[in-house]
Amino acid sequence: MTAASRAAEEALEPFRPDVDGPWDARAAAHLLRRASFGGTREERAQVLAWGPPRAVEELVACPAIEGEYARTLAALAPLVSVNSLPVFRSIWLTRMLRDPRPLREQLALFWHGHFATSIAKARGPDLMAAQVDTLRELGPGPFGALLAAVARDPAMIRWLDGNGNRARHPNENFARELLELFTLGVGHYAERDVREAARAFSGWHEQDGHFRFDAGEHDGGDKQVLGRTGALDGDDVLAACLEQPACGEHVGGRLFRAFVHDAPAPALLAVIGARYRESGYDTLALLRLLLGSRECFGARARRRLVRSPVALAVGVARTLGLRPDTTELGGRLADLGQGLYEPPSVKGWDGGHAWLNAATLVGRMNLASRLATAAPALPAVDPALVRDGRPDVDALLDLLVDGEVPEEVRKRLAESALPLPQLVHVVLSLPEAQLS
Amino acid sequence: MNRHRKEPRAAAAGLSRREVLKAGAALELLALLPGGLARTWRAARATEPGQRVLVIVQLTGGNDGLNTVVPFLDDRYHRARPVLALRPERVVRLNDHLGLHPALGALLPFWDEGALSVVQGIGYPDENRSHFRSMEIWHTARTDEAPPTAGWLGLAAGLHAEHASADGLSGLPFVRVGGRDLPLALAGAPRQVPALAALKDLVLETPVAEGRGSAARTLLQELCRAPFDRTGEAAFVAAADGAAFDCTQRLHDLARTSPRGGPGTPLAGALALAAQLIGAQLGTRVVYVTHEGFDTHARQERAHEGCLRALGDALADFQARLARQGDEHRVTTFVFSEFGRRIEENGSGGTDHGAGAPALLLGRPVKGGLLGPDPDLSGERDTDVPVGVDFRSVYASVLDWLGMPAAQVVPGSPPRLPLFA
Repeated sequence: MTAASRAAEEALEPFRPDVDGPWDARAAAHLLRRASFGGTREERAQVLAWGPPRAVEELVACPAIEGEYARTLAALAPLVSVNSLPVFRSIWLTRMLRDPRPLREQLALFWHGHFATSIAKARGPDLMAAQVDTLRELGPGPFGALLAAVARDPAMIRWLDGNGNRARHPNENFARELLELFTLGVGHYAERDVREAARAFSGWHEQDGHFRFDAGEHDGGDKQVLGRTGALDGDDVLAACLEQPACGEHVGGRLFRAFVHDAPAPALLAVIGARYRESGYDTLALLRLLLGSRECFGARARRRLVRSPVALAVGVARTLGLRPDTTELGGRLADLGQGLYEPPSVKGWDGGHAWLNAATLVGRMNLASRLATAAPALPAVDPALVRDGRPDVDALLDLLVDGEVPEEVRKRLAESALPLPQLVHVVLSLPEAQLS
Repeated sequence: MNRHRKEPRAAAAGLSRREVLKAGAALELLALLPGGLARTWRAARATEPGQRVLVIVQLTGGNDGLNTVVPFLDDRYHRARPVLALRPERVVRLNDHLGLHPALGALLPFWDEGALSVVQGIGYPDENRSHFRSMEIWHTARTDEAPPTAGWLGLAAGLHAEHASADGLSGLPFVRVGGRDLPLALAGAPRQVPALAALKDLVLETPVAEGRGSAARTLLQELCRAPFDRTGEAAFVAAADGAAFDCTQRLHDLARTSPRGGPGTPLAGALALAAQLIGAQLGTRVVYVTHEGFDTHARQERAHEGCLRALGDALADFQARLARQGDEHRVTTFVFSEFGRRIEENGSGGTDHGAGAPALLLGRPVKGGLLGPDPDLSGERDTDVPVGVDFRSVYASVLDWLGMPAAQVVPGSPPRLPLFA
């Protein structure tokens, strides 16, 4: 074992409080942002009290939906018949805001960026919402089952021209993205694999919003894909992809970049890929490993990720206990570059620094203003933010940015005597608030 | 080719360029000049490299080059495309064997005037058929597998910032217009290149409460942009905030006075905004615009026609705007796509990812005419239109024209093309 791979194995060992660093409110808030969009003061205290192994077990879970949240979803159900993009966006944001274990939604959002399908070509808001329902339901489980469902997903078939893929006239669109983006990554397949994989998926069609295998349009001839030969069909190709070590690294690496940090060492990716594949691609198990790891609580991961517009808005709203107008919010988030059900391309959102430019930064500040002045009024939401009738700047900074701002910022805010909503607006506009 | 119309307007007005420059040397004089003469002065001044502007129009998805600049006499073209081939009588003829798609008819006057160049068979060695990899190659001007962190224009923006005055930094030297996403081509500059869908994107809303709105706004700007002891990602965001506020300030008045509404298609709107920025004297040198919808795997005919019509009409409208505001002599527009499409159409009435394709250069500064080889369709079935011109030759040539250091942006000193008059 090389030094690099030994270091990678060690980086994935469970975080040890006091040995690797303190288990404190900042660590708890960090975990809450990564695994739950963010949490309230009470949730932070709860996570702190649980301690790292239990906190990860509790947060990185997708328990059955019941109780008040189940009733909320039931109340939203009739809206589905409206079948409009703003309504489906609003429903999804409501799920993100209200789910007691929002990892389920964070993961669905991750897969939405991974299997990025856009309403722009898939048409039908209901088909898009149905795809995300599939991502939500199967996302935590084995990646193979999710992949098999996505390959048959009506919106995906429309998006990548599945109906044009016919026995005599293969269409490569889905096969190429399957290899390049969904499973292996560039450099791990040949052009021939794309062409032959396309033949294997011929006849995988969509009709009236349902998957339909059209045997007459399926090319049953011999093919060779990624070393497998024979009269391969689509499922054989998916199995061939999952066998490749590159698949574990590519998909596991994307999960790592989304949930931990964006600069994993090659040796670390190799270990993650191997663990993921050996576990039968158990996504939730991988996330428990990653989010509980020393790497996740180390300096390389802290405040390292630029929050996506959705993660920022939902995180802030969950932290402050706000109930923003989700219909309006869905439109604003699209303007900030993250339109739900409408990723910019099949590659999904680039993320990182690409979220930030003059227009989106100003837009984030305007979003902060909107959230800060939305009903219900802030002091009512969290009385701890006010002390002796005046906003408590330290409490606010602790809650919103873990208190990690330059001293000069803290001093100027304390001197400003701004009312609470404006203070919240300013704090949420700070560079530190854009980071997770 | 009508050369006369390419003469700078100064000559037409009977003044030598030197005289015009002398006359206009004091900027304040400009305000005293009547409209026509002011335009003349600006046109003459525009021949200075430091005033030149490159507008890039990216056709996203892989434009079908063979149905854009059509080899309408080639039998193979017609045999390969029973559904999609354009009959000779439909094309807009450029010469005796090549013609534009009829939806690009609005560009014909520019061809006739020598203000439109067609670079045929553009691409790079061993074309990659992945949209993303190929776009990455176009965006970075590199075919090696180095992880892409900076685009060619991001590099150019960084070099420009090093040499620009403080004023240049607070203007909009490089800008992406018509969308809020930043293409990789513009990534990697030390100060994030701004992306604008509309001018109102840069208006910072003032929190209104208890009469302290503007105090809050001032404080917000100071605390966000100051470096303090920030490091890492926070320092990066603070620098980006600084650039954002600079733009906000510069565009504040423009946003208030700009007319509501505008041309119909998103591309026309983006180019209208581009013209507005160019005219606003913000030191703009490079504008990046995208036009979507070219990934025509199925039922291509109408979709492609629509995309091309939007393109041709928007470009013509853009040129007219530049002419009205007296900026046409300093602006060149470069139109490219990440690859062309296969020679053979597929069974869905569409075409799959291919290789070489034509690129366009439009504007008064360009030389006009054809460059690069006519499409050679004589290869076997399932072959591509060969690549005859490396796109990096175009990049290097336009950077030379802009007066920007091509050698530090495009690797390998590619041969230059005679693109400019």
